[in-house]
Amino acid sequence: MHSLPRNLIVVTALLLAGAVLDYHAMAWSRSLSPIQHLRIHSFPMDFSGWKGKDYETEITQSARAFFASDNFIDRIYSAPQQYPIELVLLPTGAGLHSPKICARFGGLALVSESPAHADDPHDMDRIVLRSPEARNGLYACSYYWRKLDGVQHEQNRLAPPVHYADSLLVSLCTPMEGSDAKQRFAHLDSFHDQVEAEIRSFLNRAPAKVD
Amino acid sequence: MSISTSTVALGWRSSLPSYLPISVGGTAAALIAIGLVFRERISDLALQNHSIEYFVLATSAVLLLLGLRRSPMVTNRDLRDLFPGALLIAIGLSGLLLLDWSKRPIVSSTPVLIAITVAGAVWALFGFAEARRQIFPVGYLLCMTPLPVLLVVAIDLPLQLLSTALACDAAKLLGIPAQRWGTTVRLQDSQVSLRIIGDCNGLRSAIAISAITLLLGWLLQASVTQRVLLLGAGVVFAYAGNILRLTTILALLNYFGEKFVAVLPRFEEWYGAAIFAVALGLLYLTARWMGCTRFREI
Repeated sequence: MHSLPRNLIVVTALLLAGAVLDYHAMAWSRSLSPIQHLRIHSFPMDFSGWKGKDYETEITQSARAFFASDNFIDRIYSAPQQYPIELVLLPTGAGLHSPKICARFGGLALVSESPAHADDPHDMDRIVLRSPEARNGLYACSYYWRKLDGVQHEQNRLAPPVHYADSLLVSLCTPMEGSDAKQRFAHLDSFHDQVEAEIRSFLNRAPAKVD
Repeated sequence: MSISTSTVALGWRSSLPSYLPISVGGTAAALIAIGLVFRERISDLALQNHSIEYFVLATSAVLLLLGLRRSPMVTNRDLRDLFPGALLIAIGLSGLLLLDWSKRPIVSSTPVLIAITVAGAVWALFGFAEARRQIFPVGYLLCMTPLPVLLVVAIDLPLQLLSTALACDAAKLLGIPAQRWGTTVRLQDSQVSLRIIGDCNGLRSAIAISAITLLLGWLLQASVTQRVLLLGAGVVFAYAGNILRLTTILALLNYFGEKFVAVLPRFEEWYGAAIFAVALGLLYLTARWMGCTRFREI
Protein backbone atom coordinates (compact mmCIF):
# COMPACT_ATOMS: atom_id res chain seq x y z
CA MET A 1 0.00 0.00 0.00
CA HIS A 2 1.19 3.55 -0.82
CA SER A 3 1.05 6.60 1.36
CA LEU A 4 -0.60 9.56 -0.35
CA PRO A 5 1.86 12.39 -0.98
CA ARG A 6 0.93 15.70 0.57
CA ASN A 7 0.88 17.55 -2.74
CA LEU A 8 -1.58 15.05 -4.23
CA ILE A 9 -3.95 15.55 -1.32
CA VAL A 10 -3.71 19.34 -1.62
CA VAL A 11 -4.14 19.35 -5.43
CA THR A 12 -7.11 16.97 -5.36
CA ALA A 13 -8.75 18.88 -2.51
CA LEU A 14 -8.27 22.18 -4.37
CA LEU A 15 -9.79 20.78 -7.55
CA LEU A 16 -12.75 19.20 -5.78
CA ALA A 17 -13.41 22.45 -3.93
CA GLY A 18 -13.28 24.19 -7.32
CA ALA A 19 -15.84 21.72 -8.74
CA VAL A 20 -18.25 22.34 -5.83
CA LEU A 21 -17.82 26.14 -6.04
CA ASP A 22 -18.31 26.11 -9.80
CA TYR A 23 -21.46 23.98 -9.49
CA HIS A 24 -23.02 26.53 -7.14
CA ALA A 25 -21.74 29.50 -9.15
CA MET A 26 -23.34 28.11 -12.32
CA ALA A 27 -26.64 27.44 -10.50
CA TRP A 28 -26.58 31.03 -9.23
CA SER A 29 -25.74 32.33 -12.69
CA ARG A 30 -28.67 30.41 -14.19
CA SER A 31 -31.05 31.74 -11.56
CA LEU A 32 -30.32 35.19 -12.99
CA SER A 33 -31.68 34.14 -16.42
CA PRO A 34 -35.31 33.17 -15.74
CA ILE A 35 -36.23 33.45 -19.43
CA GLN A 36 -34.00 30.50 -20.17
CA HIS A 37 -36.31 28.35 -18.04
CA LEU A 38 -39.54 29.15 -19.86
CA ARG A 39 -41.18 26.25 -21.67
CA ILE A 40 -41.30 27.88 -25.09
CA HIS A 41 -43.31 25.09 -26.74
CA SER A 42 -46.32 26.19 -24.68
CA PHE A 43 -46.46 29.47 -26.64
CA PRO A 44 -50.00 29.60 -28.16
CA MET A 45 -50.46 27.84 -31.50
CA ASP A 46 -53.48 30.01 -32.37
CA PHE A 47 -54.08 33.68 -31.67
CA SER A 48 -55.89 36.61 -33.34
CA GLY A 49 -56.90 34.48 -36.33
CA TRP A 50 -53.38 33.11 -36.94
CA LYS A 51 -52.82 29.35 -36.88
CA GLY A 52 -49.37 27.94 -36.17
CA LYS A 53 -47.63 24.82 -37.43
CA ASP A 54 -44.25 23.66 -36.14
CA TYR A 55 -41.67 23.61 -38.85
CA GLU A 56 -38.79 21.15 -39.14
CA THR A 57 -35.84 22.02 -41.36
CA GLU A 58 -32.19 21.08 -41.40
CA ILE A 59 -31.49 24.47 -39.81
CA THR A 60 -33.89 23.56 -36.98
CA GLN A 61 -32.18 20.20 -36.58
CA SER A 62 -28.70 21.68 -36.49
CA ALA A 63 -29.89 24.44 -34.10
CA ARG A 64 -31.19 21.69 -31.81
CA ALA A 65 -27.82 19.95 -31.90
CA PHE A 66 -25.89 23.22 -31.57
CA PHE A 67 -27.78 24.50 -28.54
CA ALA A 68 -28.24 20.98 -27.10
CA SER A 69 -31.81 22.02 -26.42
CA ASP A 70 -35.24 21.56 -27.88
CA ASN A 71 -36.54 24.56 -25.98
CA PHE A 72 -37.26 26.84 -28.94
CA ILE A 73 -39.92 27.12 -31.62
CA ASP A 74 -39.63 27.59 -35.36
CA ARG A 75 -43.29 27.92 -36.34
CA ILE A 76 -45.17 28.98 -39.46
CA TYR A 77 -48.26 31.08 -38.72
CA SER A 78 -50.86 31.46 -41.43
CA ALA A 79 -54.16 33.30 -41.72
CA PRO A 80 -56.68 33.68 -44.56
CA GLN A 81 -55.63 36.25 -47.20
CA GLN A 82 -52.24 36.71 -45.51
CA TYR A 83 -48.72 35.71 -46.40
CA PRO A 84 -47.40 33.04 -43.99
CA ILE A 85 -44.96 34.23 -41.34
CA GLU A 86 -42.22 32.19 -39.75
CA LEU A 87 -41.87 32.91 -36.03
CA VAL A 88 -38.74 31.86 -34.13
CA LEU A 89 -38.71 32.20 -30.35
CA LEU A 90 -35.42 31.20 -28.76
CA PRO A 91 -34.53 31.87 -25.12
CA THR A 92 -30.88 32.79 -24.72
CA GLY A 93 -29.44 32.23 -21.28
CA ALA A 94 -25.75 32.54 -22.00
CA GLY A 95 -26.17 34.42 -25.27
CA LEU A 96 -26.69 34.06 -28.97
CA HIS A 97 -25.36 35.33 -32.26
CA SER A 98 -27.23 37.99 -34.13
CA PRO A 99 -29.55 36.57 -36.83
CA LYS A 100 -27.34 38.41 -39.34
CA ILE A 101 -24.60 35.96 -38.35
CA CYS A 102 -26.83 32.89 -37.99
CA ALA A 103 -28.32 33.48 -41.45
CA ARG A 104 -24.89 33.11 -43.03
CA PHE A 105 -24.38 29.83 -41.21
CA GLY A 106 -27.62 28.67 -42.82
CA GLY A 107 -26.33 29.58 -46.29
CA LEU A 108 -28.41 32.76 -46.62
CA ALA A 109 -26.95 36.01 -47.93
CA LEU A 110 -27.69 39.38 -46.34
CA VAL A 111 -29.14 41.60 -49.08
CA SER A 112 -30.00 44.70 -47.08
CA GLU A 113 -30.45 45.83 -43.52
CA SER A 114 -32.16 48.61 -41.66
CA PRO A 115 -31.37 48.95 -37.95
CA ALA A 116 -34.07 49.71 -35.39
CA HIS A 117 -34.22 53.04 -33.58
CA ALA A 118 -32.56 52.19 -30.28
CA ASP A 119 -35.01 54.29 -28.22
CA ASP A 120 -38.20 52.92 -29.83
CA PRO A 121 -39.38 49.71 -28.13
CA HIS A 122 -41.91 49.08 -30.93
CA ASP A 123 -39.27 49.15 -33.63
CA MET A 124 -37.37 46.11 -34.94
CA ASP A 125 -34.14 45.42 -36.83
CA ARG A 126 -35.03 44.64 -40.44
CA ILE A 127 -33.04 42.55 -42.88
CA VAL A 128 -33.63 41.07 -46.32
CA LEU A 129 -32.07 37.65 -46.87
CA ARG A 130 -31.53 35.68 -50.05
CA SER A 131 -31.58 31.91 -50.21
CA PRO A 132 -29.17 30.96 -53.04
CA GLU A 133 -30.98 27.97 -54.46
CA ALA A 134 -34.56 29.15 -54.94
CA ARG A 135 -35.79 31.34 -57.76
CA ASN A 136 -37.94 33.47 -55.43
CA GLY A 137 -35.51 33.17 -52.59
CA LEU A 138 -35.87 36.59 -50.95
CA TYR A 139 -37.11 36.84 -47.37
CA ALA A 140 -37.97 39.88 -45.27
CA CYS A 141 -37.11 39.40 -41.60
CA SER A 142 -37.56 41.52 -38.49
CA TYR A 143 -36.13 40.68 -35.10
CA TYR A 144 -35.47 41.92 -31.59
CA TRP A 145 -34.51 40.62 -28.16
CA ARG A 146 -37.35 40.54 -25.63
CA LYS A 147 -36.31 40.88 -22.01
CA LEU A 148 -38.61 40.59 -19.01
CA ASP A 149 -38.60 44.35 -18.60
CA GLY A 150 -38.72 45.43 -22.24
CA VAL A 151 -37.06 45.19 -25.62
CA GLN A 152 -33.39 45.25 -26.57
CA HIS A 153 -32.23 46.15 -30.07
CA GLU A 154 -29.06 45.15 -31.78
CA GLN A 155 -26.34 47.72 -31.23
CA ASN A 156 -25.49 49.54 -34.42
CA ARG A 157 -21.85 48.63 -34.96
CA LEU A 158 -19.76 47.48 -37.86
CA ALA A 159 -19.67 43.95 -36.43
CA PRO A 160 -22.82 43.21 -34.41
CA PRO A 161 -22.20 41.90 -30.90
CA VAL A 162 -22.14 38.16 -30.80
CA HIS A 163 -24.11 37.59 -27.62
CA TYR A 164 -27.38 38.83 -26.15
CA ALA A 165 -27.80 37.21 -22.75
CA ASP A 166 -30.95 36.62 -20.65
CA SER A 167 -33.46 37.34 -23.37
CA LEU A 168 -35.86 35.82 -25.86
CA LEU A 169 -34.93 36.19 -29.51
CA VAL A 170 -38.07 37.04 -31.48
CA SER A 171 -37.61 36.66 -35.22
CA LEU A 172 -40.31 37.09 -37.88
CA CYS A 173 -39.73 36.19 -41.53
CA THR A 174 -41.93 36.15 -44.62
CA PRO A 175 -41.20 35.41 -48.28
CA MET A 176 -41.00 38.46 -50.54
CA GLU A 177 -42.44 36.69 -53.60
CA GLY A 178 -42.23 39.71 -55.89
CA SER A 179 -43.58 42.26 -53.42
CA ASP A 180 -41.47 45.21 -52.44
CA ALA A 181 -39.69 45.18 -49.12
CA LYS A 182 -41.78 48.04 -47.70
CA GLN A 183 -45.00 46.04 -48.14
CA ARG A 184 -43.58 42.91 -46.59
CA PHE A 185 -42.16 44.77 -43.59
CA ALA A 186 -45.53 46.50 -43.07
CA HIS A 187 -47.07 43.01 -43.05
CA LEU A 188 -44.52 41.89 -40.42
CA ASP A 189 -45.21 45.03 -38.35
CA SER A 190 -48.89 44.22 -38.25
CA PHE A 191 -48.15 40.62 -37.16
CA HIS A 192 -45.64 41.97 -34.63
CA ASP A 193 -48.33 44.00 -32.83
CA GLN A 194 -50.37 40.84 -32.33
CA VAL A 195 -47.52 38.50 -31.45
CA GLU A 196 -45.92 41.00 -29.05
CA ALA A 197 -49.14 41.11 -27.03
CA GLU A 198 -49.05 37.30 -26.84
CA ILE A 199 -45.38 37.31 -25.83
CA ARG A 200 -46.02 39.87 -23.12
CA SER A 201 -48.81 37.81 -21.58
CA PHE A 202 -46.73 34.62 -22.04
CA LEU A 203 -43.84 36.15 -20.09
CA ASN A 204 -46.14 37.54 -17.40
CA ARG A 205 -47.83 34.22 -16.79
CA ALA A 206 -46.50 32.06 -13.95
CA PRO A 207 -43.40 30.72 -15.69
CA ALA A 208 -43.70 27.10 -16.72
CA LYS A 209 -40.29 25.70 -16.08
CA VAL A 210 -38.48 23.27 -18.30
CA ASP A 211 -37.38 20.11 -16.57
CA MET B 1 14.79 14.62 14.28
CA SER B 2 15.33 13.79 10.66
CA ILE B 3 12.50 13.60 8.19
CA SER B 4 12.91 10.71 5.83
CA THR B 5 9.69 10.85 3.92
CA SER B 6 7.78 13.51 2.10
CA THR B 7 4.38 12.10 2.76
CA VAL B 8 2.21 13.90 5.20
CA ALA B 9 1.87 12.12 8.46
CA LEU B 10 -1.89 12.32 8.46
CA GLY B 11 -2.23 8.63 8.89
CA TRP B 12 -3.87 8.44 5.47
CA ARG B 13 -3.20 5.36 3.47
CA SER B 14 -4.42 5.02 -0.06
CA SER B 15 -6.32 2.03 -1.21
CA LEU B 16 -4.25 1.96 -4.39
CA PRO B 17 -2.91 -1.52 -4.98
CA SER B 18 0.86 -1.63 -4.84
CA TYR B 19 1.21 -2.79 -8.48
CA LEU B 20 -0.26 0.52 -9.66
CA PRO B 21 2.52 3.15 -9.59
CA ILE B 22 1.57 6.05 -7.35
CA SER B 23 2.52 8.46 -10.14
CA VAL B 24 -0.09 6.89 -12.46
CA GLY B 25 -2.75 6.76 -9.73
CA GLY B 26 -1.99 10.34 -8.68
CA THR B 27 -2.04 11.67 -12.26
CA ALA B 28 -5.29 9.83 -12.96
CA ALA B 29 -6.88 11.23 -9.78
CA ALA B 30 -5.84 14.80 -10.68
CA LEU B 31 -7.09 14.40 -14.28
CA ILE B 32 -10.42 12.97 -13.11
CA ALA B 33 -10.82 15.89 -10.68
CA ILE B 34 -10.02 18.37 -13.48
CA GLY B 35 -12.55 16.59 -15.74
CA LEU B 36 -15.12 16.97 -12.96
CA VAL B 37 -14.44 20.69 -12.63
CA PHE B 38 -14.73 21.33 -16.38
CA ARG B 39 -17.35 18.68 -17.27
CA GLU B 40 -20.09 21.10 -18.33
CA ARG B 41 -17.77 23.29 -20.38
CA ILE B 42 -16.27 20.28 -22.11
CA SER B 43 -19.68 18.99 -23.14
CA ASP B 44 -20.62 22.48 -24.42
CA LEU B 45 -17.37 22.64 -26.34
CA ALA B 46 -17.79 19.21 -27.89
CA LEU B 47 -21.28 20.11 -29.13
CA GLN B 48 -19.87 22.85 -31.28
CA ASN B 49 -17.24 20.93 -33.15
CA HIS B 50 -18.30 17.32 -32.78
CA SER B 51 -15.78 14.83 -31.52
CA ILE B 52 -12.29 16.28 -32.07
CA GLU B 53 -12.41 17.84 -28.58
CA TYR B 54 -12.86 14.42 -26.99
CA PHE B 55 -9.99 13.06 -29.09
CA VAL B 56 -7.70 15.90 -27.97
CA LEU B 57 -8.72 15.46 -24.33
CA ALA B 58 -8.21 11.69 -24.38
CA THR B 59 -4.89 11.98 -26.23
CA SER B 60 -3.57 14.57 -23.81
CA ALA B 61 -4.61 12.46 -20.80
CA VAL B 62 -3.02 9.28 -22.25
CA LEU B 63 0.23 11.12 -23.08
CA LEU B 64 0.40 12.53 -19.56
CA LEU B 65 -0.29 9.15 -17.96
CA LEU B 66 2.36 7.50 -20.14
CA GLY B 67 4.88 10.34 -19.80
CA LEU B 68 4.59 10.55 -16.04
CA ARG B 69 4.32 6.83 -15.27
CA ARG B 70 7.98 6.49 -14.26
CA SER B 71 8.44 9.97 -12.82
CA PRO B 72 8.71 10.23 -9.06
CA MET B 73 6.19 12.46 -7.38
CA VAL B 74 7.54 15.48 -5.52
CA THR B 75 9.07 14.42 -2.27
CA ASN B 76 10.41 17.64 -0.85
CA ARG B 77 8.77 18.83 2.30
CA ASP B 78 9.28 22.47 1.48
CA LEU B 79 6.66 24.21 -0.58
CA ARG B 80 8.89 24.92 -3.59
CA ASP B 81 6.67 23.10 -6.09
CA LEU B 82 3.35 23.14 -4.27
CA PHE B 83 2.97 26.92 -4.19
CA PRO B 84 3.49 27.74 -7.88
CA GLY B 85 1.51 24.65 -8.95
CA ALA B 86 -1.37 25.49 -6.63
CA LEU B 87 -1.21 29.10 -7.82
CA LEU B 88 -1.69 27.99 -11.44
CA ILE B 89 -4.61 25.77 -10.39
CA ALA B 90 -6.10 28.70 -8.49
CA ILE B 91 -5.73 30.92 -11.58
CA GLY B 92 -7.54 28.31 -13.72
CA LEU B 93 -10.37 27.92 -11.19
CA SER B 94 -10.67 31.68 -10.62
CA GLY B 95 -11.04 32.18 -14.36
CA LEU B 96 -13.86 29.67 -14.32
CA LEU B 97 -15.66 31.38 -11.45
CA LEU B 98 -15.13 34.78 -13.04
CA LEU B 99 -16.87 33.56 -16.19
CA ASP B 100 -19.77 32.23 -14.08
CA TRP B 101 -20.03 35.59 -12.36
CA SER B 102 -19.91 37.61 -15.56
CA LYS B 103 -22.39 35.24 -17.28
CA ARG B 104 -20.28 35.36 -20.42
CA PRO B 105 -20.18 32.45 -22.80
CA ILE B 106 -17.42 30.24 -21.64
CA VAL B 107 -16.65 27.94 -24.47
CA SER B 108 -13.73 29.62 -26.20
CA SER B 109 -11.66 30.19 -23.06
CA THR B 110 -12.24 26.70 -21.65
CA PRO B 111 -9.17 25.00 -23.22
CA VAL B 112 -6.84 27.74 -21.90
CA LEU B 113 -8.23 27.34 -18.39
CA ILE B 114 -7.98 23.53 -18.58
CA ALA B 115 -4.37 23.75 -19.80
CA ILE B 116 -3.41 26.17 -16.98
CA THR B 117 -5.03 23.90 -14.39
CA VAL B 118 -3.39 20.74 -15.78
CA ALA B 119 0.01 22.48 -15.91
CA GLY B 120 -0.44 23.54 -12.28
CA ALA B 121 -1.35 20.00 -11.21
CA VAL B 122 1.68 18.49 -13.00
CA TRP B 123 3.99 21.13 -11.49
CA ALA B 124 2.65 20.61 -7.96
CA LEU B 125 2.78 16.80 -8.21
CA PHE B 126 5.98 16.25 -10.19
CA GLY B 127 7.99 19.47 -10.01
CA PHE B 128 8.94 22.16 -12.51
CA ALA B 129 11.37 20.10 -14.59
CA GLU B 130 8.74 17.43 -15.28
CA ALA B 131 6.10 20.09 -16.02
CA ARG B 132 8.46 21.49 -18.68
CA ARG B 133 8.92 18.04 -20.21
CA GLN B 134 5.13 17.63 -20.46
CA ILE B 135 4.64 20.89 -22.30
CA PHE B 136 3.31 19.21 -25.48
CA PRO B 137 0.62 17.02 -23.81
CA VAL B 138 -0.52 20.06 -21.80
CA GLY B 139 -0.31 22.53 -24.70
CA TYR B 140 -2.10 20.06 -26.98
CA LEU B 141 -5.27 20.84 -25.01
CA LEU B 142 -5.33 24.22 -26.75
CA CYS B 143 -6.30 22.37 -29.95
CA MET B 144 -9.80 22.28 -28.46
CA THR B 145 -10.09 26.06 -28.87
CA PRO B 146 -12.88 26.84 -31.35
CA LEU B 147 -12.21 29.26 -34.18
CA PRO B 148 -13.55 32.76 -33.44
CA VAL B 149 -17.18 33.07 -34.53
CA LEU B 150 -16.56 36.08 -36.74
CA LEU B 151 -13.79 34.22 -38.59
CA VAL B 152 -16.04 31.17 -39.07
CA VAL B 153 -18.81 33.44 -40.35
CA ALA B 154 -16.38 35.05 -42.77
CA ILE B 155 -15.09 31.78 -44.26
CA ASP B 156 -17.97 29.32 -43.81
CA LEU B 157 -20.16 30.39 -46.71
CA PRO B 158 -17.30 30.90 -49.22
CA LEU B 159 -16.02 27.41 -48.35
CA GLN B 160 -19.55 26.04 -48.74
CA LEU B 161 -19.79 27.62 -52.21
CA LEU B 162 -16.30 26.38 -53.14
CA SER B 163 -17.07 22.80 -52.05
CA THR B 164 -20.34 22.87 -54.00
CA ALA B 165 -18.63 24.21 -57.13
CA LEU B 166 -15.76 21.68 -56.99
CA ALA B 167 -18.09 18.72 -56.30
CA CYS B 168 -20.37 19.82 -59.15
CA ASP B 169 -17.43 20.18 -61.57
CA ALA B 170 -16.03 16.78 -60.53
CA ALA B 171 -19.45 15.21 -61.09
CA LYS B 172 -19.63 16.77 -64.58
CA LEU B 173 -16.17 15.34 -65.37
CA LEU B 174 -17.59 11.90 -64.52
CA GLY B 175 -20.40 12.50 -67.01
CA ILE B 176 -23.08 13.22 -64.42
CA PRO B 177 -25.46 15.95 -65.64
CA ALA B 178 -25.35 18.36 -62.72
CA GLN B 179 -26.05 22.04 -62.33
CA ARG B 180 -25.15 24.29 -59.42
CA TRP B 181 -27.42 26.92 -57.85
CA GLY B 182 -25.63 28.58 -54.97
CA THR B 183 -24.99 25.82 -52.46
CA THR B 184 -27.33 23.34 -54.15
CA VAL B 185 -26.50 20.88 -56.91
CA ARG B 186 -29.39 19.79 -59.13
CA LEU B 187 -29.15 16.48 -60.94
CA GLN B 188 -30.86 16.69 -64.31
CA ASP B 189 -31.66 12.95 -64.51
CA SER B 190 -33.06 12.80 -61.02
CA GLN B 191 -35.75 14.49 -58.95
CA VAL B 192 -33.27 14.78 -56.13
CA SER B 193 -30.97 17.74 -55.53
CA LEU B 194 -28.19 17.99 -52.98
CA ARG B 195 -27.74 21.03 -50.76
CA ILE B 196 -24.28 21.44 -49.27
CA ILE B 197 -24.83 22.76 -45.74
CA GLY B 198 -22.23 24.49 -43.57
CA ASP B 199 -21.22 21.23 -41.87
CA CYS B 200 -20.19 19.77 -45.25
CA ASN B 201 -17.78 22.50 -46.34
CA GLY B 202 -14.67 20.65 -45.17
CA LEU B 203 -13.77 23.13 -42.40
CA ARG B 204 -14.52 20.67 -39.60
CA SER B 205 -12.49 17.84 -41.11
CA ALA B 206 -9.62 20.29 -41.79
CA ILE B 207 -9.65 21.32 -38.11
CA ALA B 208 -9.74 17.67 -37.01
CA ILE B 209 -6.90 16.63 -39.32
CA SER B 210 -4.82 19.65 -38.23
CA ALA B 211 -5.06 18.53 -34.58
CA ILE B 212 -4.04 14.99 -35.56
CA THR B 213 -1.18 16.32 -37.72
CA LEU B 214 0.24 18.29 -34.80
CA LEU B 215 0.22 15.10 -32.75
CA LEU B 216 1.81 13.07 -35.55
CA GLY B 217 4.55 15.69 -36.03
CA TRP B 218 5.39 15.57 -32.33
CA LEU B 219 5.30 11.77 -32.16
CA LEU B 220 7.57 11.50 -35.23
CA GLN B 221 9.95 14.17 -33.87
CA ALA B 222 9.53 16.27 -37.01
CA SER B 223 11.32 19.60 -37.35
CA VAL B 224 9.33 22.84 -37.37
CA THR B 225 9.50 23.04 -41.19
CA GLN B 226 8.37 19.43 -41.53
CA ARG B 227 5.48 20.07 -39.15
CA VAL B 228 4.35 23.11 -41.15
CA LEU B 229 4.53 21.12 -44.42
CA LEU B 230 2.65 18.23 -42.81
CA LEU B 231 -0.05 20.63 -41.62
CA GLY B 232 -0.46 21.97 -45.16
CA ALA B 233 -0.63 18.43 -46.56
CA GLY B 234 -3.20 17.48 -43.93
CA VAL B 235 -5.49 20.38 -44.86
CA VAL B 236 -5.18 19.52 -48.58
CA PHE B 237 -6.03 15.83 -47.88
CA ALA B 238 -9.01 16.86 -45.75
CA TYR B 239 -10.46 19.09 -48.50
CA ALA B 240 -9.74 16.57 -51.26
CA GLY B 241 -11.45 13.91 -49.16
CA ASN B 242 -14.46 16.16 -48.71
CA ILE B 243 -14.80 16.79 -52.45
CA LEU B 244 -14.44 13.04 -53.11
CA ARG B 245 -17.19 12.35 -50.55
CA LEU B 246 -19.57 14.91 -52.07
CA THR B 247 -18.86 13.73 -55.63
CA THR B 248 -19.52 10.10 -54.67
CA ILE B 249 -22.81 11.11 -53.07
CA LEU B 250 -23.80 13.00 -56.22
CA ALA B 251 -22.95 9.98 -58.38
CA LEU B 252 -24.98 7.62 -56.18
CA LEU B 253 -27.90 10.06 -56.05
CA ASN B 254 -27.79 10.28 -59.83
CA TYR B 255 -27.90 6.50 -60.30
CA PHE B 256 -30.19 5.44 -57.45
CA GLY B 257 -32.27 8.61 -56.83
CA GLU B 258 -34.81 8.41 -53.99
CA LYS B 259 -33.68 4.90 -53.02
CA PHE B 260 -30.27 6.25 -52.03
CA VAL B 261 -31.75 9.17 -50.04
CA ALA B 262 -33.08 6.66 -47.49
CA VAL B 263 -29.60 5.36 -46.68
CA LEU B 264 -27.74 8.65 -47.18
CA PRO B 265 -27.26 9.59 -43.47
CA ARG B 266 -25.74 6.20 -42.60
CA PHE B 267 -23.68 6.14 -45.79
CA GLU B 268 -22.33 9.63 -45.07
CA GLU B 269 -21.29 8.59 -41.59
CA TRP B 270 -19.38 5.46 -42.62
CA TYR B 271 -18.02 6.72 -45.92
CA GLY B 272 -16.89 9.99 -44.29
CA ALA B 273 -15.05 8.02 -41.58
CA ALA B 274 -13.43 5.75 -44.20
CA ILE B 275 -12.24 8.73 -46.26
CA PHE B 276 -10.89 10.39 -43.12
CA ALA B 277 -8.96 7.21 -42.28
CA VAL B 278 -7.49 7.14 -45.81
CA ALA B 279 -6.47 10.82 -45.43
CA LEU B 280 -4.69 9.95 -42.17
CA GLY B 281 -2.90 7.04 -43.89
CA LEU B 282 -1.75 9.37 -46.66
CA LEU B 283 -0.58 11.86 -44.06
CA TYR B 284 1.54 9.20 -42.36
CA LEU B 285 3.04 8.15 -45.71
CA THR B 286 3.83 11.80 -46.46
CA ALA B 287 5.58 12.12 -43.10
CA ARG B 288 7.67 9.04 -43.85
CA TRP B 289 8.45 10.37 -47.33
CA MET B 290 9.66 13.58 -45.66
CA GLY B 291 12.05 11.54 -43.54
CA CYS B 292 10.09 11.40 -40.28
CA THR B 293 10.45 7.72 -39.48
CA ARG B 294 11.38 7.46 -35.81
CA PHE B 295 8.64 7.55 -33.19
CA ARG B 296 9.35 9.42 -29.99
CA GLU B 297 9.81 7.32 -26.90
CA ILE B 298 7.27 8.37 -24.31
